Order: sequence, then C-alpha cells, then structure tokens
Amino acid sequence: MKPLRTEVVIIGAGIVGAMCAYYVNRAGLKAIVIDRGTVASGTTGAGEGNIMVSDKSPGPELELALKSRDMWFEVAQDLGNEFELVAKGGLAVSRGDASSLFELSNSQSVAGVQTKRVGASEIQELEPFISKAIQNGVHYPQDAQCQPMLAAAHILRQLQRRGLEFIGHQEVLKIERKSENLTVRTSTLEIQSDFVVNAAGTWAGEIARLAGSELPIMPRRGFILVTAPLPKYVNHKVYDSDYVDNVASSDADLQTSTVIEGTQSGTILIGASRERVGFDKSISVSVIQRLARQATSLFPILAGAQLLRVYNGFRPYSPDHLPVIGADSLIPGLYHCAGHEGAGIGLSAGSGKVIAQLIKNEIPIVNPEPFSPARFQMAYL
Amino acid sequence: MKHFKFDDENIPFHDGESVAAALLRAGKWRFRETRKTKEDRSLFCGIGHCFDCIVVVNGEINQRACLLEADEKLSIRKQLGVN
Repeated sequence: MKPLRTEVVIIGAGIVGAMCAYYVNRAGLKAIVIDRGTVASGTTGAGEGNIMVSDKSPGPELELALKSRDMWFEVAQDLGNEFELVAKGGLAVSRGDASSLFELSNSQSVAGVQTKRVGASEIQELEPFISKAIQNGVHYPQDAQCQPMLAAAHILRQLQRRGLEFIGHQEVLKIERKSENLTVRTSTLEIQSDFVVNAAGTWAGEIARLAGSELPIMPRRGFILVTAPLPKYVNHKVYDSDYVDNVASSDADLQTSTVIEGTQSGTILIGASRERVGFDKSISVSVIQRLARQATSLFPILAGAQLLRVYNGFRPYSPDHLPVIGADSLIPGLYHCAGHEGAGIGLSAGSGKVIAQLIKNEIPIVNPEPFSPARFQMAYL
Repeated sequence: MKHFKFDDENIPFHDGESVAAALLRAGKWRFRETRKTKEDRSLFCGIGHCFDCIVVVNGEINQRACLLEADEKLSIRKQLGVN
C-alpha cells in the first residue's frame, strides 16, 4: 500500500487532539488526525466539560488555563458554538473554616482571576436550592462549561472542510524515524510526516514507547453521576472547596469532593472522585453512594432525584500534575500534548496553540518550560 | 377491579402489574411530552434503562412507569417537560 504523506500526524481524537488540529490547521500545516477508536472515545467522553480557572493555584497551569479559557470562546466564534459552551461561572463553597478558600482566591485574584467573596445571602441568590448551612463561598464568573464530545466532533468536522483529514479506528503499531521523516504505522496505514503530535491522553505513555521514548502518564479514575432531567436547580458549577486540595493531591486512595452542575439537556452531573486503580472500568457502589450523599447534603433538593446513569473515566496524570506539552527529548519531530489530568477540556485550546507555535518555531503564548517532556526524560538521555 | 388515577381518568389494573402495562392496556400511550419539541413519548425499553416512560407520581417527577407497580394510592399525571 502506498504510504500517505502529510506534514503533521496527530494521534488522538479527543479534545486535546482536536485543538492541536485546529491550531496546526490555522498555522497552515497539512495534518491527519488518527484515533484507535473514534472521536472522543477516551477521557474526553467521560468528563464534565470543565473549563475552569477557579480550581488552580497561581503558577504555570493557571496562566495557561486563563489564556486557554478565552481561546475557547474564540474557537466557538470561528467555528460556531455547537457545543454548549457557556460561561456559567463557578461557585466554590466552604462548609467549615473558609480561611484557606479565601487565601487561595486572594492569590488567584493577584494572578488575574476574577473572584468575588460571597456570604450566605449572596450564595442563596446565586443558588436558591443550595443548603442553608453554607455561609461562605467565592464566585468565579470566568469558569465555563461545554459539552466536550460535541466540541471535539464539531471541531474535527469543521476542520475537514479546511483540509484536515480524520481517520478513525487506526491503532498505532509503530512510530519510526527514517532520515527526515517520521513514519506512523497502523494496522492498515502507513503515514509519513514531518511531525507527530502525541495527543493520546491517558494512553500517551504507550504512544511514546511505540516511538522509542518514555512518558510517565498514568490513569486516575473518576466517577460521574447523571440525574434524570430536572428543573434548573443548579445554576453554576458548584463545588466544595476541598475539591481543590484533592485535585492537587497525589494520594492513591479514594478521594471525593462534591462538584455539581446542570447541563443544557437538563441533567445534573455529580462528581468528583479520584482514585488510582489502574485501568479498572468496574463500577464501585460505595463511590457512587459517597458522591450521592455529599451531593444531597449540598443540594438537599436532589435527594429525590433519579439517577439516569453513572459513568467513569481515566484522567491522564503526570507525576507533578502538570500537562506534558512540547518536543520529545529523544525523538526529533515527536511532540507530546497529554497528561492534562482533570483539566484537559479547559487547557486544550491553549495547549494546542502552544504545540502549533513550537512546531512553527514561534514564541509560545506561555513559557513552555514547566510543561516540557524533558523534565521526565532526563534519565533517558 | 382496582384503579389508579392517570390525569383525570381511572385506569384499571391487575395486582402486580406495572403502571406502564396498565396504561397501555387502557389505550393511554402518551406518557409524557419532551422538554424542547413537545413530542409524545411512551414505553421504550421497558426495563428501567432509557427513562423514556417517565410520569409524575403523587407530585414527584421522573418516575419510570415501567418499573412502578400499580397501586390504588397512585395519582399519576402525564409529565410535561420537567413538570
């Protein structure tokens, strides 16, 4: 079979791969996106669609998140907002001592995040159905949400009109460097390109190995409960402020903290759990019970709600919880854009842009150093 | 025969029968209207999975008619959107 030829091969048709494709295409490069399944069949299809700035402490990730959040709205403007993107705002609440929440929000506001402390009466105004026991919170108007599966599908569909090629059901078997080219081999295809972008999310470590490199990306399982469609009981993305600590932690044991939000289809999504159990897809009743209990204590009206379904997925995390964005240290032409953990939807636009800028040798929108794959690859050099 | 209420009508049922079965036997197949396009919905999967047959039971929305055992104490309404 005659090999295909393109400038950039992007492996992974989740939201990160789709955004890489968007900015690579905008940069004028020919690209082919492949996926071993279909669009959004991995972690993108198993999340909530968070585009959050509120759950990050000041630092490189927050800087990228702020830029990326605004870029999401630019993408929606360019391609049409057919993915329920809305700046609904976040509300972090504290059930006990609020000092650490306020300390965080103060530092975030210095870093450019819009924050507003809210007391009991304002909280009731923002969320009329929230527990009356909640006294303290911070309102984050920039937090946004989208429907990530629709987003990845819509972006890739629109890009196909602009010359992008998407080929599903292509499991990568080997990535080889030959003279000036990288060759990606799948069961039925051979694609030659100048650059390969590894956007395989939780499975990015496997792709790196197939190219002869290494990348420590591991799965962190999370459950989401979906209620039957309900009246608009929840206006914002509402979460318990201990969520921020859990996001940042490296603990292998189960951690849960309440994250609740409504969707445009009327369902309410309830998260969030984190546990390191490998790629175990099984359903855990005790995790579901814990999430449901925490949710009804924050929104008592949900006590009578019916659960439509429960799903789980695997956040791709790296040892320091920062995504891996940049050139591989060992294989020339190979770039990684993965390991965004639970923030991949929000960070995808900025990450895709950085990848396109690095490929084009332009100065990236953020300092790429903290995200460089080199931080995990020094031992292999 | 025993009856339960569906909107303003009495629907007869046999002991152990589901609400959905009794409604269909009585010729009542319009269980609810969808939220956006107001289309009629009825029994679909019949095993509690799809949530298409939801009705309002004694004031509570989103109750699956296929899983609910008929009872004289039930007052059921067609569900209009989420009301």
